[in-house]
Amino acid sequence: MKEISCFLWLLRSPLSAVDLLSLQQWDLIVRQARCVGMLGRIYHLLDTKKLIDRVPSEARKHFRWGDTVASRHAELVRVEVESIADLVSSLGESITLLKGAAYCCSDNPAVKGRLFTDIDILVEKGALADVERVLELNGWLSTHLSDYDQNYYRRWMHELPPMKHGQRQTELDIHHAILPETARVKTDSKELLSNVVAINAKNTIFRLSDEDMLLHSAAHLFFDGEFKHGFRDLEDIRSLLEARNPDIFHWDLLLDRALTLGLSEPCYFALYFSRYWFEVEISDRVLNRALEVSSLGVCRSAVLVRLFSQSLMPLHPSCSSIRNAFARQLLYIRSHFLKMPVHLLVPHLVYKAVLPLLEKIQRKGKQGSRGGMIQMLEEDAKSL
Amino acid sequence: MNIPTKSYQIGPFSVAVSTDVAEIDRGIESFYQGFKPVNAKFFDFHISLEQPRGVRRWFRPQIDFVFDGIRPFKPLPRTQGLALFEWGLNWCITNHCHEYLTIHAAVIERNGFSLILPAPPGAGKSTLCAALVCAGWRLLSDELALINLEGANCIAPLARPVCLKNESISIIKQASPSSRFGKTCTGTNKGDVAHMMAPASSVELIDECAVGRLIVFPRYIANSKTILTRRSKATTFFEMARQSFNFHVLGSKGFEALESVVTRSDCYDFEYSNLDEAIELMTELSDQQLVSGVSTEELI
Repeated sequence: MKEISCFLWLLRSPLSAVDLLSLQQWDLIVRQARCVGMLGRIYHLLDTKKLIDRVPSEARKHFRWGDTVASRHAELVRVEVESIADLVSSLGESITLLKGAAYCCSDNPAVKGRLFTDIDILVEKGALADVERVLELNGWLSTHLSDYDQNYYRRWMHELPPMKHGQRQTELDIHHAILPETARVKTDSKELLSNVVAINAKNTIFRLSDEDMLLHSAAHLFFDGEFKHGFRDLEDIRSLLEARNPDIFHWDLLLDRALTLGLSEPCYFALYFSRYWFEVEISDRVLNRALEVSSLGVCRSAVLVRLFSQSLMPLHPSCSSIRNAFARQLLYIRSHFLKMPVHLLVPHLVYKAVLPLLEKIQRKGKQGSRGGMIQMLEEDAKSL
Repeated sequence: MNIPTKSYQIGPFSVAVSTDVAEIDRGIESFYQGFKPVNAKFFDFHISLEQPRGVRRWFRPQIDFVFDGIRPFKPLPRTQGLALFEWGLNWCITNHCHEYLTIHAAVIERNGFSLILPAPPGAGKSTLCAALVCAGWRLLSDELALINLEGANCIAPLARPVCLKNESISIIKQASPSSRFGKTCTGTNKGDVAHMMAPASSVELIDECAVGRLIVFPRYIANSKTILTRRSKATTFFEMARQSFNFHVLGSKGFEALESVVTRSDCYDFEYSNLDEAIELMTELSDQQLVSGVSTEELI
């Protein structure tokens, strides 16, 4: 915790931290923020509080560069989302944005300056086939082309195989639920879709309600086994909590809603870490009740809190050691058990373990280019 | 493992470098001789060149480029460590810095006006750049033109070594025996690579921007005559945008910055094979810039 204390201090109380941090501490903050994709986020946080000019110029420019990328990214996402919504509305359907795209397009000040990798939308399951077809006719192509993967997504997952725009390379995930079909916890999509809020005048683009957005964010973070951007996602949750409208927001309503959606467990962890890492004002009573309704039990919750607090650290050498890696590994395994029952999970894992070997044998002789982003960057850099 | 960290202020960037390979450490030091160390405890880029764990430390040894804990590239043979450092630093700048419109081009300066040489790899940009630097031009950069975003038509220097490949290495060494070179890295995926250090005079002027006045797209064609042809500003603009790393990120700011350089520059295509003739013509072009009212068109 020590190594990240400056970063947390800046996020918690920017007003007092901004003048007291040393240049060396700023150096570490920039590196940790870059590692979790929060440079632009910090720029925005400090800018809205009129503090950005008090940041030493050496560090400030990095935050500004992050903001440049994030603003441009947000612009492109908005254009992309509108075009998707127009296509889908030609079917008489609407789209509900999830996560990053929802924050970005609803102009939620709480989560500005944030980077995200793909656009996630939720549509009714019955409309899935039509939505996919109309997108395919307009340049969106399915990825994960092997029969196994296609079948895996369509049969067991809560989303179609991710799509990618053929020209612009934007990635799009089309969900019909927020958790896999096979997951232990079932969240009723009808329930979510009955509470959505319109974010454009044409009523073709929606987002989840404030509570549901929060709970989805929590479910994603605390059920999923990926922690590369865990710290950023946690900060999203605290920002959403901080931006709550006191006139209509009520902690007990949030907990009730979590119970309805089956998301009490991630809700508890979201509240716990928001309070203890970011000092969001959450009373003992609320936290205790959250734990109670989650049916986690004192022991299990204590173990998981420990594992999460290791895993949520930025993946930067200054604050990630072998212990953090071990905790992440355990939670990764846990996430798979939450996602699928054992009789489905084991064959899947075996297949995925053997597949690279099979592919290697297949590829021998014919040079396939399966370059990822990093390889592309590498080639870019080498072509200089 | 206690690796001493060295720091260099390379143009606008403060860079901290550490490596556990003494040879690479010495090589980087010789590349950046005359560059000031960074006094503040803040670095734009934390870079280390590390030997991988396991057998590749000893058996056909390799080297990893590590940017603040991230390994963006596959490891290369240890003998290519210096080239890897230079490529890696390019990657750091082009992927993170949006202070400037960054274009893949060489930039050199004479009489206060800069000559931008944008070109795809293999076009002979670095060779021409090195030859002109040896003929007394100031080196701003061999790879990255950093164009100021405020629309002031001002290009920031880096004065990093010029990366020469294959035959170009011996051509420049012969043409200018006094030029200083780093050790040649053989067998990279671009063939043999050697770096010609920036002259001390270029390093001294590292804080002084230069005004863009000439844009020349060079093309080395064996046995060709020296041919300079005028190029339209529109196609120059498009080609430079295409060669840019962050034009798409900067939006209208990038557009305006590029516009300010292109509108104020004379733009040419240039075919050459004879370096002496090329130097003479480029020098003439730059002299012509000093005489106001005379169009460079008359040279063609």
